[in-house]
Amino acid sequence: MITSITSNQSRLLDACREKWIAKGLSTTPATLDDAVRIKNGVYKFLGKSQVPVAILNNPIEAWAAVCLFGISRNQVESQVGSQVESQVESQVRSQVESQSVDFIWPWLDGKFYASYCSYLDAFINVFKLRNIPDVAWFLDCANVELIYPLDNICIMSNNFTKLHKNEKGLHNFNGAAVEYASGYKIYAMNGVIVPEWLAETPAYALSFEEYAKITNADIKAEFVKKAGIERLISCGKEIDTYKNYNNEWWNKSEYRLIDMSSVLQGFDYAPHLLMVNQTTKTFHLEGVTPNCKTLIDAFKMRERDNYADYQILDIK
Amino acid sequence: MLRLIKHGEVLFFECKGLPKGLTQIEVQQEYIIVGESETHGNDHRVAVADKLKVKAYKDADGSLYMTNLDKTKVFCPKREKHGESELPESVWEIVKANEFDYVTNQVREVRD
Repeated sequence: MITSITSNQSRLLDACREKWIAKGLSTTPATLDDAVRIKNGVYKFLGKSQVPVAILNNPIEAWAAVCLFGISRNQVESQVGSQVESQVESQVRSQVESQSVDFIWPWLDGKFYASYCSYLDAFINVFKLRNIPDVAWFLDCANVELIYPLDNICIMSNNFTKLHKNEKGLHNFNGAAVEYASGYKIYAMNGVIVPEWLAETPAYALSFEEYAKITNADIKAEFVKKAGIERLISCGKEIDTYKNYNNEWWNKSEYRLIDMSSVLQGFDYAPHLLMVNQTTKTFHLEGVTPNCKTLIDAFKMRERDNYADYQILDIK
Repeated sequence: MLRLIKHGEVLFFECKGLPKGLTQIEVQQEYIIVGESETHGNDHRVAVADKLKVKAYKDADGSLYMTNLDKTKVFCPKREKHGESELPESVWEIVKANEFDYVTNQVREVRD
């Protein structure tokens, strides 16, 4: 049992962590030689005959290749087992799965498993544990992304070539957050997958009419962060405000009713409820029906008719 | 006065009792999903430490209700989006907030 670590081991652990973070986020493409070496290691471990390897530009191309080789979903599904959750893997995965019918994320997901690789690497190279199986082949897999070790061919997807992230996940306000060599891109802001137009349109050119077309609250919140709430509501007219009431939670949430009809064609009156998320402190703007003339009307419509009969206990 | 807790678009309205004709929902995990996420799995959940003390129900229209004999938590997997709220012991009706879509001219539930 390990009960303490030396200062040297502590330094080595730091280096190990940095090494695997860098590998997991690397945008350096793997070469064909890398792919052959990784494939050889995988097939040797599996005890399978060596086969050719194909390395494709991105996960969707890799999956298309798997389908081209006539592999049924059932054959591949048996390999699925990865439950790794990370900022990059989960978002790349959800986006690819949403765009590719019947897509299967393979058991060997290479660099997306860098966190587990770092754990193995630390026990082998920092704590010098003996009598453990050879996992060098597994650590080598982190030089590519997805690996489908099929009976007749090994299909891999190569690394993304550009990656933008912040502490919340994939993030780029001015373009794609992830790019692959083939041009496949994933757009995200603060960890929220967003439409291409929202990421590519300059902040100054975003209009409220475009905002009104978004149906998802998280994407709306990212629109507000990018465009700026002051600019977004600058063409609106305040109808009612939390300042007219004496309510602790309304004050905290800074509820305001804003008429946005000046920027929505076809409406003489278009009230929207502006509020501050109590966790993120970001603004949300939601449409309410045109018969809402006060904040109380808005909450009756948003929540329920007898809203005023309830005492707010908490808002998150 | 009855109490209200707002966890994002998911609203917990305290009830004086359960309405008749409800069907109990089998709780299979250590939480109940009370608001599904449309895009990235950050659904709204109620923690279930003891299945005998936290029970969920739905009516014929699919409306959700729950009872908790002990206080419990409302949370999202990504807590940075919505922090935890404490749900005191009581009976609750769980509903989604509405918004008006000026593109389709329709009232719909808020989605995230």
